[in-house]
Amino acid sequence: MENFIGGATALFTDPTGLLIFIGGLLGGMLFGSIPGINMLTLGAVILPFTAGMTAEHAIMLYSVIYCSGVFGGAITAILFNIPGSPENAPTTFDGYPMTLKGEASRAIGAAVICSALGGVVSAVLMMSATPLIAGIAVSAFGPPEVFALIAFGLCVAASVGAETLWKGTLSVFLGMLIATVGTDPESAEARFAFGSYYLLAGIGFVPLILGFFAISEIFVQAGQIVSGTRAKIRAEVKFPSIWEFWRMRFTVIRSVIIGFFAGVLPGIGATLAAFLSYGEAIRWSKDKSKFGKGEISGVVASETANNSATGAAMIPLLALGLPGGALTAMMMGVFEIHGMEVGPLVFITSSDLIWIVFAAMFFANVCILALGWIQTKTVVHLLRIPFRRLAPAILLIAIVGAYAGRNSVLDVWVMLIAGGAGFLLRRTGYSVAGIVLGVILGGLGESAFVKTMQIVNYDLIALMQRPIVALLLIAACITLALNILRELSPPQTDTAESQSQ
Amino acid sequence: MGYLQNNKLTVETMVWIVLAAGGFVLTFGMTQESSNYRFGAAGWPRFVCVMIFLAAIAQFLVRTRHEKHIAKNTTDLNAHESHHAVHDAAHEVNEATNASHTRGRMKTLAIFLLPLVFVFSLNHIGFFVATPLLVWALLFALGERRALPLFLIGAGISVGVILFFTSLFYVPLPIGNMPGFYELNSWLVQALRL
Repeated sequence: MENFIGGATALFTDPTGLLIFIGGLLGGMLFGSIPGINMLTLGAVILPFTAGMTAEHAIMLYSVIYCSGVFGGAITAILFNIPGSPENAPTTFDGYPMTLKGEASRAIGAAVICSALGGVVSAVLMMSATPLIAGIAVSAFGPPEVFALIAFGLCVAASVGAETLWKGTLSVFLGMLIATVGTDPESAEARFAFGSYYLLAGIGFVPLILGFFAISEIFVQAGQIVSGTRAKIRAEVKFPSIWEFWRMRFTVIRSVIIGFFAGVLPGIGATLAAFLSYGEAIRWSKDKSKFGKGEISGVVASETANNSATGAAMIPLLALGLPGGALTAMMMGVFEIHGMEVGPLVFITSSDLIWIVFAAMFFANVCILALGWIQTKTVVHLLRIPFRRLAPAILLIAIVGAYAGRNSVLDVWVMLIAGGAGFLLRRTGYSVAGIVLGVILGGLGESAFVKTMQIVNYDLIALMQRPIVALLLIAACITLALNILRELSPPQTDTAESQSQ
Repeated sequence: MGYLQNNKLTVETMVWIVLAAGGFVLTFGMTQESSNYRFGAAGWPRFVCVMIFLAAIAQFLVRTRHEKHIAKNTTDLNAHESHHAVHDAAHEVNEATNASHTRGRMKTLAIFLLPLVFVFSLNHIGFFVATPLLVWALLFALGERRALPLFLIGAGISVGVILFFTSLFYVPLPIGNMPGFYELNSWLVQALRL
């Protein structure tokens, strides 16, 4: 506690530090909410300038951007079906349908409160037990456990957003197939590259996300405008009630736990946390059919988990020097620029810096609540702009966003192709969310599988003797079996519906 | 109707099978052996292709079974009602003019094609010239017909995006390779980055 107070005092009594804190907070939120660019863009752009800052200021700036950037992406995910970053992708599944129902501010309100809550709890846990948690998590979670976790995530993903389990499954496998394009992670042999240097590097993830979500949405909405079937979206300002949150207390607690543990694992982080948490929210729900159609607990699950992962992601970075994602990797770069080495010793050699960072992350999450509340009251009015005027701006920003990553026009082509494919797949009941999840987990899953096979020497019994692996794989099999059984049961609802018609 | 549904399902299943089979065949080109990993580069893609094939077949069988089940449970009365519904719908469709349908389809097609034409033109006429043209065309296709708002909104969006990404983030946007356009785009970049 003394350390925290010391860190907070150092943060708030230093005018330059305070300015950097506010700048990082607003910058992260802004960049997170602009489609096509995100907190990583901001992180990359300011990286060279951090050399001119003190180490405390530079690291603190990145930690604040991390917290506010993850939240910022929720705004565009909810309002325009455009996730600011991959970790906000599951927020679109129910956030955007809520917008279509005229409940945008309720969805943003839920995202604000849950992001702040997830982030604060995660920051408190991070402050209280960084070395301990890092040690346990990293030693207990090797590649076999990560592979089992991903297998479990994929089984849950098949039931997200698609018309049927089979369509969900096919969507996930399509994503996994897309993820194999490029080079093999073990031998670096070309796969499905057709002699193209562009494909050798793999299909860019950002163009895919922009295509599947933003571009396909523009096509869908534009088609509705042209055919005159587009319903006008109401822009009401209505905050979720305390009673509503009380009803979702278990979803919040579950999502904090999932987010925290996924965040601790290097290479997994907030994206998987958000997807797993969303899947679990569906699994534990009494009425699963509401998900994907504007169920507030879908937004709550995703946003709580991804922000809960932010504090957790700092644990392996600071305690073991293992970055969990792109932004934490940039933070390692900042440490290196300032001639510091991350790892257990950093708590002894740079204790002041660490506590300033912890305090900044805690207060950044508290500030999200206040700034988010203002955003809920203001940004929702963007929906009053007619979509025909908004569409060209969204399209243009998405085009530049896809291009800017690698300065490649081919990435823009990939985005447009993904947009067209996403439009067709959505019309036929497939899940673009499932595809995106397949792309993310497919790549991670293959790497983890290759390492797992080498560790257990291709012995499946040895694999199942690891308790966490056995537990997760059994849970995956049960989920899959239950889904298949439900799918095979006679379509009573369909029959009833057809009879009523 | 059922025939159409079956037809759609068959086409869908065929697309998945062709994708899976194509992918599987291509994996035979991945011949490099790895001493560290038994399954090699082809192992994972083959697994994914086989799973796509199995899921597509499962989808086909289960949906065919469900449709048979629904058909069996549907009473003659409902069939009669649905016959009326189909008849009414057909009547309504006939009331709509063919001309407006064609116009609607053309507009939708234009909205699909505009971004493709834009990206194709990027390497030739450059981002700075192509952008306002795309925005104006898109606004027009989406129903903005008043000249002044069309011009002002289009110009506003284009200038805003160009300024934001060129002046603030120094994104090296394509400047084209056609004589005249290259010079114009280059001059604009230099002017904006001053």
